[in-house]
Amino acid sequence: MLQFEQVYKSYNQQAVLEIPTLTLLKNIYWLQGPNGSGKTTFLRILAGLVPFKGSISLDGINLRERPLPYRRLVSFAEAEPLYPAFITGNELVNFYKDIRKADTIQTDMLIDFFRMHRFLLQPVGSYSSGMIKKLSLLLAFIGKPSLILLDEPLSTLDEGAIHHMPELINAYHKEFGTSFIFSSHQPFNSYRQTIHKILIMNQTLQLIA
Amino acid sequence: MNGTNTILIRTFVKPFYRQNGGFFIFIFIILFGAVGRVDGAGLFEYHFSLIRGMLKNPFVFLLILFLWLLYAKKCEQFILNILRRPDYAFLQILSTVKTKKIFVSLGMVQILLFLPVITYAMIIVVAGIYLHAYIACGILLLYLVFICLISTGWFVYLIQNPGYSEEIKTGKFNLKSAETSYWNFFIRFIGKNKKLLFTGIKIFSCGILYGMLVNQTGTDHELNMIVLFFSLGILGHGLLIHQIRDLEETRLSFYRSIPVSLFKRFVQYAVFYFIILLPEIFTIVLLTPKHVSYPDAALFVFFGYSLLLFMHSLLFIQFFPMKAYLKIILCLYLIIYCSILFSSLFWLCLILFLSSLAIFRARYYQYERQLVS
Repeated sequence: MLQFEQVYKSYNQQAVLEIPTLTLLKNIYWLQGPNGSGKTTFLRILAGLVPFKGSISLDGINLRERPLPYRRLVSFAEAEPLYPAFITGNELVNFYKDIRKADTIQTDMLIDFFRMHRFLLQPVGSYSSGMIKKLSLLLAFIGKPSLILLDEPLSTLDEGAIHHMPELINAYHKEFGTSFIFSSHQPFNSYRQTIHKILIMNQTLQLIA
Repeated sequence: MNGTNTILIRTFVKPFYRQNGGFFIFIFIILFGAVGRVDGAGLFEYHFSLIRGMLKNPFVFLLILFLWLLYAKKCEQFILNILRRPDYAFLQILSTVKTKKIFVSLGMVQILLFLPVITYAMIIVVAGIYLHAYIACGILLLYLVFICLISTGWFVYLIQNPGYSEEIKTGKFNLKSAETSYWNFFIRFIGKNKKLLFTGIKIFSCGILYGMLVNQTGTDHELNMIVLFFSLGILGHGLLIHQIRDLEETRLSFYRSIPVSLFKRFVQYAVFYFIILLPEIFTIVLLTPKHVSYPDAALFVFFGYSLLLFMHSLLFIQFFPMKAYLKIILCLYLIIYCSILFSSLFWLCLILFLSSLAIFRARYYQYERQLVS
């Protein structure tokens, strides 16, 4: 369960996000809103990347008070991920695997799913934007986080990956009870799972029934 | 100037000097800014004796040739990176230009990139003629021409073989056991992109330490001046630290969202700066206890280490632009100067170390990159 209380974020004294109170139950949420409405800021706040005023708790763990346990529960994939050009995909996978204490079976499964075998031993600098995107998604799924945040997960992906992404989300939700909040301007087709929509407009969030 | 040359200058030369502005300022400060008047000897005498050392001492002479080779490698790496970028794919059109013409154009680019070296080489040659060191001057000039010709030929080959630059593999710096350590990313970043800057800083810093400490005896200590010069070398690391923080904010930003305790995060920086300081530590160890006592040696190490950590932590308060950051570093230098005047260097080190811890603790999760002027 994700709880927001008096969450406020501003840039140059201009409010970009104001959430008085909001509770999100364990589910899959599609964050919608026009460009510049604050979707990325919202996701980055949840990921612990951006400071804010107020309080955010996940499963009773407060982000500000207990940053480490909170981060164990949350995983994030950026809309336009960047990594140092000299690092190989394999090194990043191992880095995440060690920190998230994930097992090899899971990472192998994810590498299979994203069809990354051929690329993992090469430096990220040689990847296409689609491959970097796949790598960031793969990294976000490593471990068993309680909440996975995906910023525009479908952008730059090939058609096969776009088709299969909802399946992976459903599988994680079903098997590990993982919640998802993702933003996407592209249609997100999932037939097996109900997706709840959150509208972000006028600097605040609105849960659409 | 024709269209090709204009494009080449705007593509290779201008971005090169823009990107390496900090590096050149640092070298300029070392060569000209940090030279004071001692016993009536000023800038001219300093450089004249430096050049005499270069021309008369084979070891120093070879060292200079090696440094120029490193600089040529840096230029080559810069051009390779440009050619690999998709937004410069249009340069493929140059492969249709006649070899002779493109060789002349790229030769001009090479000369412009090498201008700082060529300028100083000319000063050396003039001084060399005055000192009658004709052979050394001849070797120097031939070496310079050779480097420029080889580099130009290589650039022509890269331009005429589009896609080849993609295939060039560079050596892999890989520490298996440290593969998944965060500090390892910084070390590799320096090994890959900042070799020359790092080497320059270390040569200055260790050179100052060795050159000044070796004249000390165990009983007769005059460390204040050494600390003052040594602090210049350590503060010079600021250029590197700024770029490392930039790397963190742009390409390692994911690290802040993954579950690592604040203590472990600080340890990553602590390990990294210890490794960075190893050349200075080795230099000090080499001279201990004959030229510097154990407590003073420990103070030198502690001073360098706490200063490095503090300079890194400062950029968690705000990501200051380079110019503002250099001003802050200048203020730090003045603080160091004052602490030497009041014989309180140890306390300053302690304050810097504790402050870096406090800033890191308070700001790590609260920090958000906003460029301030």
